[in-house]
Amino acid sequence: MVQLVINGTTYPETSNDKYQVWIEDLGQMLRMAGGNLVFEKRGQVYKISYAYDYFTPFLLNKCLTDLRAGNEVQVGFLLPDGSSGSGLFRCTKFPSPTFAFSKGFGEDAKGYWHGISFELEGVEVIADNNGEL
Amino acid sequence: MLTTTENYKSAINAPTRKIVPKAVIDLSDPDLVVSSVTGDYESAYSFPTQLSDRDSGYSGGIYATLEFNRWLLDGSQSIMPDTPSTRTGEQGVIGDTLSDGDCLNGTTLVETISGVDTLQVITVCATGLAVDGYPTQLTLNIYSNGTLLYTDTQEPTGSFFLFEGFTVIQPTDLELVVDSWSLPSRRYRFVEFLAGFVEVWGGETIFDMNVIRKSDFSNLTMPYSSASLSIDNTSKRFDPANKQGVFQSVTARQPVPLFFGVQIGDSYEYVPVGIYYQQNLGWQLNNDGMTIQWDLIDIIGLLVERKFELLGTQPTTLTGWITELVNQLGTTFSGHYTIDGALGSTSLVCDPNDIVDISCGDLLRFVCQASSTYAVSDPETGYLHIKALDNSSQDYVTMRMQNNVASSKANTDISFLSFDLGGTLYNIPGTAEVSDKTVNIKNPFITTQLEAVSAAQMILQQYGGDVLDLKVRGDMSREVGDMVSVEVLPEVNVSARIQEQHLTLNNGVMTNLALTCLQANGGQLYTDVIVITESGTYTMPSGVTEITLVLIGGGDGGQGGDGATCYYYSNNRDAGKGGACGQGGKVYSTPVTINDGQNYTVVIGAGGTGGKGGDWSYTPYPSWDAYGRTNKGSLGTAGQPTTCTFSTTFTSASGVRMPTGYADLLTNKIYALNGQDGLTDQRNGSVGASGKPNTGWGGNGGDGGGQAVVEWHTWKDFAPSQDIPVQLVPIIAAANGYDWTWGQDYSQVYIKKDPTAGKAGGNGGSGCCLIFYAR
Repeated sequence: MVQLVINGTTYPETSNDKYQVWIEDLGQMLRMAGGNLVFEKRGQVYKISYAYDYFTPFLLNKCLTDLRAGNEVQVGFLLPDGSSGSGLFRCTKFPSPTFAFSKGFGEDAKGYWHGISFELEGVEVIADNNGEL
Repeated sequence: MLTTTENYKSAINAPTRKIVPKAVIDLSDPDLVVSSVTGDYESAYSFPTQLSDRDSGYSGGIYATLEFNRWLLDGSQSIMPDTPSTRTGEQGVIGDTLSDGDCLNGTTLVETISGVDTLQVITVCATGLAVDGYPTQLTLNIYSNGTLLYTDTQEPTGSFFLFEGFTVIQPTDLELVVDSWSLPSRRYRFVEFLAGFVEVWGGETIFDMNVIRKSDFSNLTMPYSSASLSIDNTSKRFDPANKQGVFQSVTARQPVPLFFGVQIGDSYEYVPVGIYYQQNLGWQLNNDGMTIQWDLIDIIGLLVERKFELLGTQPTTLTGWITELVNQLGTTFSGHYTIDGALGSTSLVCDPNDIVDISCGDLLRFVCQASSTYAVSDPETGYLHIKALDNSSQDYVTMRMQNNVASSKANTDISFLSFDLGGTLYNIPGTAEVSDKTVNIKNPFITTQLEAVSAAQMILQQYGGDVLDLKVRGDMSREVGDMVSVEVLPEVNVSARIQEQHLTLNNGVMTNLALTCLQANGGQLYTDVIVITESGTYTMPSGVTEITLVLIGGGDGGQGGDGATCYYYSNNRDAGKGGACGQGGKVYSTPVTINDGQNYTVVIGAGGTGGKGGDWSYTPYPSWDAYGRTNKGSLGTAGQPTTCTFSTTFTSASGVRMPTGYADLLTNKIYALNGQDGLTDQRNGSVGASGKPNTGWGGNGGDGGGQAVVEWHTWKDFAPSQDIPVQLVPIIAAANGYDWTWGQDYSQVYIKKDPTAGKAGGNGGSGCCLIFYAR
């Protein structure tokens, strides 16, 4: 099952709750003079959270290049109902892999970057049934 | 207060809400005149004037015709009336040639126009109905006095189409040649063929929309409402350097209706916040040309700086002067005004020499001052609206709607008003002698001391007292001039009049908006009020012949709360619903002319009596049908009308309900408020509070009874020696003939706490009679 495609690159399917996609309300939560809490809603956007332990060097480079540049990326993603969605996203939590060593001794020991995780947020607000943003 | 639905009122104050902007942009020349429409169309079935009415929505019904598939017997089509021209709605024109296949062989539609300086876009709209089809090839020819200036052929893919990307100066004829149509055996149908375009912009186009609405009730200045609108211009469509764009179509006096909508379910209820106009092309490109901002003003803004030139005979009434004023803006503004009630017939006469070289703004101030009115632009129509101050309280602004606690400060005081009455000064004391502010008034329509006092009463409505600066969530249905009841401390309300309101989206949401309200007391200086709270016969003070009579009827009693119920054989329980509040008494207000020192008789309406609370109950076996009964609380009785008799008898029964009350600045009281609904499911509920005497307030509803508290048990839960709760015994007795025995495994309900009865509703407050008169 394809969970995530970023700028044409398919990311490996991840499990153990490490792939999430959800719709988040945009707006402001405000405490009024009367003590009541109100939410002024602006709209809704898709958010995606993804984590994977180890990428191949090629995929890692592609991931860092696409996401750390701060540009909009074209994303295809799996929705909770099993259907797929697509759109422009920006990376809001950048991947920060850590360096670790494989098992082995001396010259056999090999270093790997691992622990890749990032979050994406939709560029466009999701239009409602009335076409309003 | 603009009229909105109950759903709107709930949504605008809901804990979570979403508000979106909308603007309708009309880029056609406001001086456009279509003198004739000719071509190949069926005159009897066509409404050619609708082609340029800026309404592209077809609403003319679907009629069966002899065109292919246009005679359906499924109820979707109507029979054409005997006289086709009696059809109503937006129809446009119908061609006189049937398409052969898809070919219409160049049938034409020609508009002869004038008044357009620069033309850069033309709108063509078919009906949008699938059964009618749409053009698939159109040629546009634009002429100026017989010379072809521009021609273009396009292939539309739908019923709405724009010709863009050209600039033509002073066109005189627009020819539309219809080459082909999407359906066979069809006549062409167009509802719009407009030199210009009308588009609706929403949140996807609008970056920012700020509206400031204000007025000055004294008429010493003439402020106007304004708006700024920023839109997406990434396409450079409105870039002045883009010759293929439409920037040059932007001209002064083009109307831009603005709206804010609040989400209700899956749709939005839009509330108009004014029609604004472009003046002096007040635009600027921002963000490297990615957005364009227009600064817009309302109809008063168009008038203020304009020099007044009498176009016809000098008027003698308020209506006449206002007609002359809007005519200054051109024929397209002719008749764009409304004047409340009978105010329009107010006599206003002046020396013609006194209005030479006067601005329209000053003239508007003078006629309003002399007629004790004020001017605003109507949010729905954009028309100049002349109103008298009205004390009907329209709305609450509770602390739950305020971002910060209201800040209050002293309003400006005025030491005296000095009227120049034909060279003679006539001074009227203001709100505070120590004030350093004096006002000199030379109004050509005010020539007598009586007129000066009348004007002073209106002017002083703006001075003295307090100003409330509020920051609120925002409600676009409020209007400048409305009275509102503002909660300044918990459960402490004051009456104030909205002088200025801001409506804007900050970071995409509407909140923290400035709302300035006046609690000016200057208007009280030359106005008096008599408050009658007991029935009897009274005498008016001498010298008073004109009064405003306000009758407040007795408030209705509140409904008793419902009793709670419980059903033995399950844990189904009904909580008692709180009783509905009693309505405030009706309010009737009318001006009355009386004799000097006249006697009058007042009968104060009693408040209604609160309804009894409903009883609590079990619904024992075998009364299965009784399940679900609610033991309704009784309705309260209606309050009685208050009457006042001078020569004629007036009664509050002829008045209206004002759910948020009638606010009076002189007595600083709110009358005729509805009560509050009782609370539901109150084990230790309260009797509804009664309306205060002589307020006309409705009684509160009684609280509903508290739900029974139950637990599930089987007989096994109880030892033979244990006392069984008394409520359990009837269950056992009723258990279909089963004798109970200890240890039996019947699952039953044990009622730990009885349901409780509803409480009585409160009585309505008695009414009163207010008599306002000039001192």
